[in-house]
Amino acid sequence: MEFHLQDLIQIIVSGIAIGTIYALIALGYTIIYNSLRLINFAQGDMCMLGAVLALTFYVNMDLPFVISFILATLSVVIIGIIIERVIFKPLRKHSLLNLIIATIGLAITIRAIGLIVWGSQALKFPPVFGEQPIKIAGIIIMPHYLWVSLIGLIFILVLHLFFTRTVTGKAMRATAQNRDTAALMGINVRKMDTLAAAISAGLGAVGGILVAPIFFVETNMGSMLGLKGFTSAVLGGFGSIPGSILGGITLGLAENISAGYISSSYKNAVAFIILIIILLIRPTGILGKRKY
Amino acid sequence: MLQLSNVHCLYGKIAALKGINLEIKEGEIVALIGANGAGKTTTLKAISSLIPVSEGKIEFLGEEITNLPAHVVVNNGIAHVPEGRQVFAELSVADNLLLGGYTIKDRAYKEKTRARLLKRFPRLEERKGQLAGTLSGGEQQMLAIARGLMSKPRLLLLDEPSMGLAPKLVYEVFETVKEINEQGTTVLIVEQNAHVTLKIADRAYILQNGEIVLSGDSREIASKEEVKKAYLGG
Repeated sequence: MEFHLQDLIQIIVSGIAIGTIYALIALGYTIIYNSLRLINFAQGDMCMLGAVLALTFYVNMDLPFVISFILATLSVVIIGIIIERVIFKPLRKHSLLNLIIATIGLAITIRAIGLIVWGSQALKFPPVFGEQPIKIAGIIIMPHYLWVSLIGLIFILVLHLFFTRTVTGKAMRATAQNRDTAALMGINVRKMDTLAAAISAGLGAVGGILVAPIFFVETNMGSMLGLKGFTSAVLGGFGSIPGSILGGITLGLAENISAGYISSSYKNAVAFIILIIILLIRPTGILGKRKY
Repeated sequence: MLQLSNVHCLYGKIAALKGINLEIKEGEIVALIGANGAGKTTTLKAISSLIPVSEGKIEFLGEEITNLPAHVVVNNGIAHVPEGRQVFAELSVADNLLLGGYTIKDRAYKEKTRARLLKRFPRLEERKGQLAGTLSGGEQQMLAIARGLMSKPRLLLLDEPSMGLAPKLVYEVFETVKEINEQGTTVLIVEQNAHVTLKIADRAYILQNGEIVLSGDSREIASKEEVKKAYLGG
């Protein structure tokens, strides 16, 4: 195979786009984990819900894409809040294992509901970002990769500003670090839990909607996206916000480079090989801190 | 100001507090002294609602506050500086203070209070941009106290502020407590370091196995034989 610089750049651009989506999903895992000390295996299904709802609003109800995007994300945020109130809150006092199994049960339930409502077929999401490739200095780029990267990065930036610049964001971090002491400051920690569930469901939905025009929309798309997001979070260092972003982009790039230079059928395998290697060599991830 | 009547607390099935009666009057420094596991920390946690009270009543400024959510208790004017400082290690010193004033909605006022506290604790001023986890033990204790004061409390609960500090710093912490009290904040202090505590406190309660076994004027308590033997090293 001949090496072309243009090919590599194209691979990197699309890798960053996919990586941004993984980062959003990974952030969802991280935020829920930091607040509720819980790995939510239904995180990927929030992506699926975002994608199918956006499709319904956009195609079936003929709403403008931006409106569909917002409505779908808000719907998933509300679903996330309900899940936190109805399932996570009562289970809080039980062992971690019970909670994790509950999230797996939740994922199966959501998928089953999705199957009943939207069917098992893969649905095509209209190319909302345009189909005409853009040519910049001899490099051909599909416009949706640029849009996905841009929108994803905006969300990441807003999230970063929220956690570092606002009192509520700082209060959420404080609650994650030391729950009892946060309550002593007058922070309503229950409210912070709900907020964490809402943000992380919303991030999942955004990831799902952004990925929809690239891949097909399916009711079981959540399992693969969830695993990719989880891998990214572990890769970057579970519980670390910058780690999730770095992990997501690293995974997106690694996948795309291997798809470009080895074979696209090994793309998913690469994610899991990376996960296994990380768990063996550096279980705390790239930016994770050693605990215990 | 604060009144505990027959307060019971359970840890699982074990009774940690067995009917505590305690009263604090405005402007006092009251010490709660006892050995490890006597229920000192539990008493403070019961006051600030970190653990539920199973029986009995807690009143603050004439209103019942038993088992209110912890964040509401703070709003009523009680700040609790927990055992082991518990600063938010991964937030900056300035942000720790900011969150101490979480219940205060007036931003300008909050900023003024923070500036005043930073002036009072120059070591914190120097390190306000640093992560709280990088501070030394003494600095963290000062930060924890300053953070507690950010909410403009009427009553300050201090849990073992001298724990793990060098003697010189212990002295500094107690001086600070005295000064805070002189400026109008009532203080309930829990300590194992009975010697120094009885010197600054107006009154004291001695706690043993979840019960108050002795109470009274600090000087009186310090002169009692059994107290000398058990808590003052002879």
